[in-house]
Amino acid sequence: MSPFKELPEADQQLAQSLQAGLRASEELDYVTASRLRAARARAVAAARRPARGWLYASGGLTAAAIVAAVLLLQAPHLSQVAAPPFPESGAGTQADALDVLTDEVDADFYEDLDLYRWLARSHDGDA
Amino acid sequence: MDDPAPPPASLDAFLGGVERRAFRRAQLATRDREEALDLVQDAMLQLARRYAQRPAAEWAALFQRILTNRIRDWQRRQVLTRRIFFWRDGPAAAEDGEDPLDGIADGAQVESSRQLEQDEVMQRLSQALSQLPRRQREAFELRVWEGLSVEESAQAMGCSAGSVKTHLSRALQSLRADLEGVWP
Repeated sequence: MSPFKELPEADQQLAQSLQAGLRASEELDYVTASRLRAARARAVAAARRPARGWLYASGGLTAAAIVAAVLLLQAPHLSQVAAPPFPESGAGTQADALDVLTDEVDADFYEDLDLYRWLARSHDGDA
Repeated sequence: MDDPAPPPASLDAFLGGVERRAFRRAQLATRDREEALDLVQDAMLQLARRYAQRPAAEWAALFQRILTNRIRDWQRRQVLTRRIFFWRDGPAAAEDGEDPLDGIADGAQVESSRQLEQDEVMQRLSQALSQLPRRQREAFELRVWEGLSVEESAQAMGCSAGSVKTHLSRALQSLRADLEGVWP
């Protein structure tokens, strides 16, 4: 039975013939095949590794704490050198720095936004 | 409606089943072995890191979607690079690049005249495929070469099943014209 039932008869035959020809050309040289195997092994290992989100989050928080501590320690020194233009700006800057450092936006998320939409739709469809 | 293939037993088995074809697709698009290997590796890692916990039956469409996006991004970067560095030849210069479908590896050492003829035919097919509009080529690669169902192809391309059928029909029409008298 043809796997291309949506096509007219003549197109089905052409599609099957092209599929067979393309698949027959998939043999690879040893080096390329080895590198693909190595890439696959890395991917499988990555899937087995536990999620590291908590690690990144804790790392980000640690970095934020260090920056905040440095800002606090330097604040009296800065105030002696030059008076800040706005008295309350020191606290605001520190809070802003914390916000920036702890705001972890995954840039790849935007890249695959439509894929996530599809996944959400398919999930709703399954439910 | 197509009969769905049974889901793969493991991620390793799934990737092992698609890696060669994925590499050939990427090589056809990039005409560069190293770039193709990088694209396939990126797609494998992306699938493993983000979607390994999804049902195995969804991996095929997800992987093809990721790979298709990676290939598109690569092609956009090439266009941009060629625009910026317009005075020099781009790395994807088709005239000088190796043909992605030639050299059937180990057998090439003892090529008979029949083998050479077959290679020539595959080269023509490669050229014809590379000249197709992007959406038509994607529909052909996913539906015919990969063997995804119409629905899976639509998911991988981010369009409707009807669009897949239309693109595929036009792709086959062009290929038939381009390969007339060559394709057996």
